[in-house]
This record gives sequence, structure tokens and C-alpha cells, in this order.
Amino acid sequence: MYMDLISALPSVLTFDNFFAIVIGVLSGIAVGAMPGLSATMAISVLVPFTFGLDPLVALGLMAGIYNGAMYGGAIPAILLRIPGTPAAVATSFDGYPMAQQGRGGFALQIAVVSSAIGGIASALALMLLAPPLAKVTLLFGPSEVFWIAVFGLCSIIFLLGESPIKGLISACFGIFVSMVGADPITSEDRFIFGQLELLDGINMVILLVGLYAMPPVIDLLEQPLDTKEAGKALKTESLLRSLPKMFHFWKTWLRSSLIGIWIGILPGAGGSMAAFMSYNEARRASNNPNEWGQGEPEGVAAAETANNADTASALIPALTLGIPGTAVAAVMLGGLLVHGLQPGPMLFRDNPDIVFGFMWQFLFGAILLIFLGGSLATNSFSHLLKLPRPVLGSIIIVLMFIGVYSINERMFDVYLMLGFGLIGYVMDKFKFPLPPVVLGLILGGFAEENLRLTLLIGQGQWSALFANTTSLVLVAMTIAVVVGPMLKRLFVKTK
Amino acid sequence: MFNYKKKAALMSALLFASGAALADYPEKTITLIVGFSAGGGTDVMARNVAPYVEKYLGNNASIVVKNVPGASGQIGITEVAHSDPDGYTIGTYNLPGMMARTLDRDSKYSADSFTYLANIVSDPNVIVTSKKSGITNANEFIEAAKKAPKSITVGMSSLGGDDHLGLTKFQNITNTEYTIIPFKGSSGARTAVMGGHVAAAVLNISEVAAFKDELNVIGVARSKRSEFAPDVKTFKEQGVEFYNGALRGFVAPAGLPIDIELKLLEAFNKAANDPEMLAKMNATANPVEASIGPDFKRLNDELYQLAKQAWETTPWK
Amino acid sequence: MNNNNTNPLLRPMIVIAFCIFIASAAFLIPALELTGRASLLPVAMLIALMVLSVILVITDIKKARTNKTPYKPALQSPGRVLGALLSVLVFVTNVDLLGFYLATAIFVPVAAYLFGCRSLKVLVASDVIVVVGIYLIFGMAMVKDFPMGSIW
Repeated sequence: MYMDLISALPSVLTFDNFFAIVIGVLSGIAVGAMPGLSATMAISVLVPFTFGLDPLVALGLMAGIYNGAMYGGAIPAILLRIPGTPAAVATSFDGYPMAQQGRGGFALQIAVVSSAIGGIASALALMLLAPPLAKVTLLFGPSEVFWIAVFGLCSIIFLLGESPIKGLISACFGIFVSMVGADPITSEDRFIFGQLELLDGINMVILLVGLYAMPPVIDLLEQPLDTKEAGKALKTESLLRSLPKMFHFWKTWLRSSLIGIWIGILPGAGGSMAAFMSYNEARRASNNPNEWGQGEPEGVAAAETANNADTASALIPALTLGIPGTAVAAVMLGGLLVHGLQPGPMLFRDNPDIVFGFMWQFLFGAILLIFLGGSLATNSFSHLLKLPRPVLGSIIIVLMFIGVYSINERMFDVYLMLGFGLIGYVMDKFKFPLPPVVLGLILGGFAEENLRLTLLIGQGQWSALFANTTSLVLVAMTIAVVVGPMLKRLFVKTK
Repeated sequence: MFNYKKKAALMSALLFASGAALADYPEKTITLIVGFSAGGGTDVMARNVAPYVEKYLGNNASIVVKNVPGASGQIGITEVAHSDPDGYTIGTYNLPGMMARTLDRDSKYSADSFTYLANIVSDPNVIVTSKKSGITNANEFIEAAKKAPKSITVGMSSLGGDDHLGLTKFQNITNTEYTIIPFKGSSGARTAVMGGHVAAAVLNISEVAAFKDELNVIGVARSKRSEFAPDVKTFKEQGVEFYNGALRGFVAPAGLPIDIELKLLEAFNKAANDPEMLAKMNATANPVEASIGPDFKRLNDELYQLAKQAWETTPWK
Repeated sequence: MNNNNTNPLLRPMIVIAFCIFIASAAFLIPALELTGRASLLPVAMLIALMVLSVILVITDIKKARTNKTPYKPALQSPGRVLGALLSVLVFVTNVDLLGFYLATAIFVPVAAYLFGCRSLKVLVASDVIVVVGIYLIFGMAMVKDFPMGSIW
């Protein structure tokens, strides 16, 4: 199969293809940087247009958008504390404090380099290990996936912030929101109160825009002072000179890449969970965990590496088994289908040129990100912050509208977003942490669906959850992650 | 099969007699509402068929696809049902899903809300088992369930879909009982059966064609073998009269002017037989089996009765 | 419960906890009507929320007793916050009425002016750039339809 890989290279190295990747990366960054617009949306808008294109050009565009958007989300997350995509939530933890300290430019550079590294690692995993990794996916049935979700939810414990009670309230709220809509098993409708629009559940983007964009926008309008400092803060040294300052992140880059790839091949969770988990792991491994959340550059590196490292790897189960690891991968499958490329083991045999070409495009997209993203972030987006705050605020309100309205082209979603915005503003003011809501929404539905499937398969026996080795290993890991820090604290106290 | 032609002849005679000329339909863009997002099976079908319908409608007809996803197609089809019956709004239609929704949810449409244009795709059900299960043919599958009812777990895409109604039918025919495991989408069910997490699954032929080596495909619910998997036996060959599948076609709102209806039926009929279109559908794993106009309506009524019967005897929620 | 300085029932955290409790209880009614396992997790979450809000009240009262610092208002200028929230609402309803492009063209400069930007040049420039930019990117390149407005 490695021969196929090499023989696919020439067909990728054409002007058309490269142009498509460049356009894809640039528009991906722009889309990701706008709150509410996500890679999923951009690619689904693109799919109908690709009917007339050469398959590789179309796929190159998609690969570029995917890579670009995963980084683009970091830009507003760092500069405005508004994550442009769900996966950038963890980036804002340390990125925004850095920007406030006048190190926003450096934070963006870390983000772009880390994103590129994550993307490259992921593309390599896809190119070299797709078939064996697909076998790993097969090991994960409903009970195993349930435990993965529980493991992810337990990482909430580390995101609780100063008050665990408030954090738990946030998490329960997020999980409850994930229950709205048709029941995953019986399709019985829950809490939709006659609104068909709610039947498919509440879209992540609606919640994210409401919770995360509304509070900063209100703040922008509340304090009318023009803050020119934020704009100045972005003037940075060239990437070449700041790059050496990042080399000591290599451990984090490696760890986060592996976490990102791993989460990517597991169906369902996607970039946000990868970013959260790798942020937690990097913080646990660091020797100054208390400074995290106050502008630790390594936190940005961890989050951004992981959310790009799941891009290509999410395509491993998508291409080989037809199960998309993320929402974006699901849309990309649609893009493949349009060109008559049926996912499955046959795909690699029947269309090696396109499949392996697509993998190369992912790699090139990730590499191009450094050049395109680096200059874009430091040059164009710094102008954004020089805008007077009231103008910036009202423009973001318009963008919020566009982002949410574009998901399904309905006003209902916009009003829903306003509701979440109000809740988000109150939560933010009274220091209820927001990340557990996001994680709760992502993993809650996922956990429930798989729990119920497990119980159905096990004829209603709860013991079905512990019936196989993989599940037991995951249970042990979860316990270790939860109990470990507690024991550590106890041990330190008694000493 | 083409008895709509009789109707056409009759109607044009009537029109001719009354001296009315056929209107210059279409004079403006036709909107084709697809109830799923771009890139899904129904969307791909719609976009593949639309250019050929344009071609045979003549008059420089242009069809624009509008995706109205949500609630497994229900939001889109409701919009079609409530739009003006002027021939400028048509929609994609899935069976048995669209009819099942009128039973298991409050729907704002019914079987009478539509003018049935053409069913294009008929994707027959297949039953697959995991390699671990050791079940390789229909008899073993039935025997296993007879020996221990409900011991066999069967994955499928959702309740109230073609897979579910198909299995209900199979259970009635063979007098067996299986444990139904509804996944979210057929790819989840397929992966679970490949990993051996469920023993079997009901899928569609287009979904398993690429996975034949990783699964045991025990039978296809069609009267003839499918060209997508010619080596897979039908259930009929194995002595079980089990036919079922997912249908995808096109409808317009009820009350379409008869001349426009006839023009559309003719265009869809020609499109459905266009070799170029057939090749495209084949490449995107859409098994074509066209039924035009009244044939489609009859098919719809049949499937509605089946769904109704299943809903009344074993409601799924 | 006899806190002399402020009425404990009006402490904002207690009001919020009360709201959470009531909302959860209200959702519990439809949740309990769900069949079988469909109600399992929703009911668990709602009960957890109710319990947590009670704990929140208890910890907050405890904190109020031990900690005598007078409570700081959470908002610096409630008027402006209310105004900001209102302006978002007004914008969205106007999109419904007037159509997206017109509502945006009016909203961006008016909101910016009301919230403190007084430079005419900036107002006009940002308005033109935003509306034209959105039209070019979303209207032309991505063929997105925005609401046209219901009053026309």
C-alpha cells in the first residue's frame, strides 16, 4: 500500500490542486475565525459546488478548509475570548490571558505552529496507519464508547474552576441540554414542546455562540473605552525569531498529537474533547499547574495541537468503515459520495489515487498552515482589535446572527441562541464555568446513546457495561484519573 | 408499468377537445426541496437526477436544489406539502420513513398531501451477520432465533425506518423474535456488526456492497439478485418470501394542474431511463428501480398499510 | 438567616439557585412522563440540578455569615448591559421584519453610535464594509439566503 501512496503523489502536485489547498486553508482560517461559522458549515456549503469539480481539487479544498478552520477558531479565542469553533474553547483558557498581558501575538504564533504540528502528525497517522487503526475502532462497541464518554466527562472535574458546586451545575445543565430532541433509541421526543426544529437536538454551534460570544460582546458594549493597547500588543517579532522559544514544548506537542489522533479515530467526540483532554494532561504533567489558566503558553500549544491532530485521524474510521469520527468528517464523507467514492475497505483498492492523494493534501494543508496562518494572524487580524469597541461589538453581533442562521437557515435557531446568550451572560457574571456546559452537551448525548444501546444488547442487564476487557480497562483508567489527584492531595496534606 | 401514459393520452385528448393549449411550463426556476443535508444519499440522488429532468422538461428549465434538513426529512417534506401546487416546488420523498412519521409523530401532512411524481431508487434490505456469529444463511439465522427467541441482537439505523419495518416483516413471515438494537444511522450499526458487538444487522444493499468481505451477507430482500452484489442469494432463493427496501423518489404538493403533472411525469420517466443518469446512479451506489406517477402512489399506499399494521401491532414508542 | 445588612433572600446567588431549582422542577414534569429508559438520564440530571442548587444556597448562606465583606455589584453599569442585551434583541427582531441587509445597515452604525463611537467616518466606513463584505462573501460566494423581511 505504500507504493500506492507514492504513486498518488504526482497527481497531487499540480497547480490546480495546490491552488485549491491554498484557497481552502485561507478560507478555512477565515471561517474558523468567525464565531459561529465552523468547518462543518463551510464544507457543507461547498459540497454542492464540487459536483462539477475534479474530485482531487474538491477534496483539496475540503482538506484545506478543515485544517484552516481548526486553527482559525483560535484567533478570536485568543484575542476576544470568543472561541471561533467548539474545538477552540480550551485554547481560550490560556490564550486570552496571554493576550491581556500583551502576548497575544506570541499566543497566535504558538497556536499556528502547534496546529500545523498536530495536523502534520495526524496526516502522517492517516497515511501510514489507516488500515490497522481502523481495526482498533472495531474493538469499540457501545459499552466501550460509553466508558470513553464517561472518561471525558470525568475530565470535567479539572475544569470545574474555583467552586465545584457551580462547575457541577454547569455540567448537569450541559448534559440536560443534550437530552433535548428525539430520544436516541426510541425517537420519542423530549422537551421539544411541539417545536420540530428541536427534534434533532440543540446544535453545538447555537449553544457555543450564545454562551461564549454573548458575554464578551456585552462587555465590549458595556465599557465604551477604546483600548488601543490590545491592538498594539499584537506587534510581534517574526515567526523565525519566536520559533526557538517554542521548542521546549516538544513533549506537549508529542503528547497532544497522540491524544488528538486517538480521539479522532474514536467515533463521535471530535476536536473539542481532544483539546480538553490534552489540555488536562499537559497541565497534569507540568510542574507549575497552578499558573495554568493565567496565560501559560504551553496551554495554548496543548489545546491547538490536539484539535488539529484529530482532523485527518477522524477520517480513518470515516474512509475505512464509513463511520465519521467528527461532524466535519461526516460532511466530508458526503463530499466523497458525491464523486462516487464509497467509503469502505474497497475504497483503498478501487481508487488509490484519490484516497492517497487526499491524504497528501491533508499533509500539505497542514504544512501550508504555518506560512498562510502565520502571516494572516499577525497582520490582518490585529487590525480587528484596533476597531473602536462599540463598532467591534455590533459587528460581532451581526456575525453571530450569520453563523447561527446559516446552520439551518431558520430564525428559530437565532432566538434559541439569544436565550442561551442570556443564560451565558448570567453564568459568566456569577462565575459559573462555561467549559463543562460544552463538554456536557458533547458527551452527554453520546454517553446516553451508548449506555442505552449497551443495555439493549445486554437484555437490560447493567452488568453488560463490565462484560469485556476493553471496558474494564477504560473503567480502571477513569478511576485512576478521578481518584489519583484526590489521593495526591490527601497525601500532600498529611505529609 | 407506464399506465400513466393512458392517463396522459386521455388528458391531452380532453385538453385538445376543450381547445386549451399546454402552458409554457416551466417559465421560472423550479425549487427541489431535499429534506437532508448536502452529500447524503437522498441529496446525491436529487442532484444526479435533476439535470436530466431539466433536460427532458425542455424550455430551458432549471432546477435548484434547496436542502432543508432536520427531523429525518420531516421538516423538508412538510414544506413541500404546504407549498403552492404550481409545479415550481417539488421535493424528495423517502419511503417508508415519510409515511411512518405520519404514524409515530404529529405530522402536518398525510399520504393525500402529495402528487406522486416518480420513485427512482429502490435500495433493497439485506440481513448481515458478524463473522463471529457463525451464521451464514437465512435458515441458520431463523433457526438460531427459534432455538432461543430474542437471543440474536439485530442492529439497524433507527426505529420506524425501512430496516425496522423490514425486520418486523421478516419476523412475521418466519415467526421468529429478535432483539432490536436501533443505532443512530446505518454506519453505526454496520460497524457494530463488523466488530461483533451485535450479532446481525438489517441494512441496505448499497451500504454493504463495499463491505462484503468483512461481513456475512445472508440474503437480499428482493425478487431478483442485486447487481451490486450478484453473488448474494435472495431470501426467496432460500425459501423465505421476504421483500423490503428503502425507496427514494420525488413528489409535488397535491393539487398540481394536470398539464404540469403530465409534463413532469414524462420528464421523470425519460430521465429515469437515461443511460447516462443510470451510470451516474450506479457509481454513487443508488440502485435504480423507477415507478412513475400512479405506480408510485400505489407503492406508497402499500407501504403505508404495512407501516400502519406494524405500528398497531407493535408500536415502537 | 438573620443577616442584618442585606436581606439574604435577595442575594443574587440565592436568586439564581432558586431559579435553577424552579426551572428543573418544571422540566421534571414532562421528564417523568417519558417512557422507560428515555426518562432515565433527564430525570437524573434534573434531580442533580435541584440538589446542587440547594447545596449552592447552603454554601452561599454560610459564606455570607463568615464573610462580612459587603457584596459588590456584579455589573458596573446595569443600564448599559440592559441596553446591550436589548439592542441584540431589537436587531434580531428587525431582521425578521425588515430583512437582513437593511437591518444590518441600520443596526451597525446606530448601535456603535449609541454605545459611544462618535466618529462619523468610522461609522460610515464600518457600515459599508460590513454590509458589502457580507453580501460578497455570503450572498455571492456562498449563495446563502438571509431573511428578506416579513413586512415587504
